[in-house]
Amino acid sequence: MSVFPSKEWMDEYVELINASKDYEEAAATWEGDLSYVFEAEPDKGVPNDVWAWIDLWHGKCRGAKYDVGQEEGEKAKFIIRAPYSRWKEVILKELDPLKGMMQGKLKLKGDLPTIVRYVKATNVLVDLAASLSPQFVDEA
Amino acid sequence: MERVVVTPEADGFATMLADLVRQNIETHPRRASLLDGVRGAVNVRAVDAEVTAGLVFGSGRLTVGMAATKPALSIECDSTTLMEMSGVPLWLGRPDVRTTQGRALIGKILKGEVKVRGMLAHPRLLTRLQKLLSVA
Repeated sequence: MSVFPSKEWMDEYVELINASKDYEEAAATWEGDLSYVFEAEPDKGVPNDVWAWIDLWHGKCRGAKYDVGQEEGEKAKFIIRAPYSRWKEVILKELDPLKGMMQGKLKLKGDLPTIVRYVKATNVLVDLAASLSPQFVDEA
Repeated sequence: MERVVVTPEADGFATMLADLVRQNIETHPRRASLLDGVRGAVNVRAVDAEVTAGLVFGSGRLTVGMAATKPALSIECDSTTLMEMSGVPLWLGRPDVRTTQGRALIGKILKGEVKVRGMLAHPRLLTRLQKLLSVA
């Protein structure tokens, strides 16, 4: 079992994305990279912001980098950021990401109309993350 | 003149709707004219997220912020449906019932899963809003 957040967790996540027929179908025409920012919470074992970059293209993940620099991460077409504990809620499916964005708990930077067109694909990405059942760094 | 204005007290939801309209106008500049010649307030509520935004049309601009006290129109549904509504193809400014998404939305309205109050009294306002939020 991998620890969230970590490179191992991300590698497993990318494998799941590439094996998912649901994602392939929902994101068949999606073109664009995405940075997840797990914002620092030093008291929970995340001393610095972690930028995780994934390159999503036509229903597959064709590249990923864990803990990229902010400068590199900011070049992504879309950036979703939240404190580590919010991401933990998302992965545990205690917080729906769309609801979280509406409530201002997750911040999105990028073209919102594009995200809206791919609501189903977004939900599949979250379901895949949840299915990994990782150990969380603040519980490790 | 800024055509889409976000009030200082706007929350994440209001900001999100304002961004959606603003980015749609950037992509489709002709849609800016949808803000002209229309006046009235619309409340949009995502019930499951417990958030409501007020969109006020007037003076050629759209002001997005807290819920209006006396909206001409109000729309309520869950957050996923709300986003899906933006993806429904329109025909003559209404959900296109020739499409699967259009029929699904009409079905949700008939079942009460999407509540639209004021649509008969303010059809023009509803049409403008739908076109401004549409990403289809």
